[in-house]
Amino acid sequence: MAKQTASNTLTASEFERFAAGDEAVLTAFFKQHFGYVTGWLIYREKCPPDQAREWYADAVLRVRLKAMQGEVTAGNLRAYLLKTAINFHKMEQRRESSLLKRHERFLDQLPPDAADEDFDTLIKEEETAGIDLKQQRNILVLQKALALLGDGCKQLLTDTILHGIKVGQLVEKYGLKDARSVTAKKQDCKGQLQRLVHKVLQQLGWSADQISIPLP
Amino acid sequence: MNYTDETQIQDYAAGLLSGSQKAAFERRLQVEPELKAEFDLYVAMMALDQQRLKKSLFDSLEHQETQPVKPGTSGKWIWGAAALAVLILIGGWYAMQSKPQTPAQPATAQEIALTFIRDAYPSPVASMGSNDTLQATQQKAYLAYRKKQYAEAASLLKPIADQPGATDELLFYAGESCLQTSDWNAAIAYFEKVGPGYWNQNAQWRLALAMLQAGKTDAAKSLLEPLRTGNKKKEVEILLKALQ
Repeated sequence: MAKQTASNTLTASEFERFAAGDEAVLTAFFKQHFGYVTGWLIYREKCPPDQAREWYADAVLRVRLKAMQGEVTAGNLRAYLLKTAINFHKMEQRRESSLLKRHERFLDQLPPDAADEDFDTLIKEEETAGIDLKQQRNILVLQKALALLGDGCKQLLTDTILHGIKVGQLVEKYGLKDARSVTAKKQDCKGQLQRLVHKVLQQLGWSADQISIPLP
Repeated sequence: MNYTDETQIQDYAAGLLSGSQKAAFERRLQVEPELKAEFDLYVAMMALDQQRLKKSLFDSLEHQETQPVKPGTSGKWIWGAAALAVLILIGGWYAMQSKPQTPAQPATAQEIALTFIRDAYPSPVASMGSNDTLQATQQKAYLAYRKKQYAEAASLLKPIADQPGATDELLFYAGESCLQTSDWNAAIAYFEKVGPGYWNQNAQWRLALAMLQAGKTDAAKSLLEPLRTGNKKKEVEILLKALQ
């Protein structure tokens, strides 16, 4: 993918923090372009307001992901953001049925602070939930396991698994010796997460074959 | 797992793969259990992370007057456009003076009201944990409202708001849910029932917006007048000016 270039919306240091995952800069960036991009979607693309907000948030997170992966440089981020949001709107049908959106919708339906004993009742028919039973359990179990995982590991797994940042880029961030040490640390953290998943499964009285994420 | 797998997982989960690429990846998911497990881990973690981030981003807007901006009404380029317009006007003034002028059409009060309506009133507290006193239907309705599923919120709230003794908060959110689903007359009916007290001023403001959408301009005007000194005075002035 061609790198995007040239901008004045974020200063160089702000962009550096944005690309490093700083959530305060992300929030400022989100607020800065909200009116412009959602306005464009609503008035020019005839997108319903609720949908415009959703596509805008998705686009901001996508631009952030691309910045974290080094595919976007400090440049005209607003134009890139608008283009991304318009694309999401145009691909509405495909995106709405995407697994990620279906997972997000399932999460949105969950009550806050559900107790362990209620977990079985949160699992719904696939048709209602939009995702299969194992995927529903994956989410519930992972949510609990991630809450128990240390912040350092959580961040490293987020950077590597979710943001797809190459290990070589993370050596300095995590103060490790070389890329191999990052890979080793990643494996260690993944192992910790898998052991926590196992523990949560036991607490809930669920078996390993009721979920589909890797276990130790 | 290699880098291409990671990219494909990300793009497939986000619905960005299509055609033969999508079909090929789906075939691989069926026959490669390790890839499927990694994919399921990714998509569950990503959904959790996205939900957390989006919640925090939308919460950051709650206390700000951030509205969608009509393209062409703001931004630095407008100064450039204005300068250009002045040049064109000066250059073409003599030639144009015999032709009729077309004044810019200002937004109508109804259009302005719609932008205020789109900024839905913040969500109520849906659950108080062990101190919960809300009935299950109301809790479910408030959760739907929080998720911006206003049609569902309205259909759950209406039957309980219609019962005698319904609280002002309940009536307000029944009205607001109807407002968000463009059911102006139902919104008007619920807002009108809100009694004096905490919810009243908000209800009067939303009622005026609903009245404008329902074409009851005079009623809206008389509701807006007393709100000129309230917490929505800026918006009220904008609407009253547009109504003149």
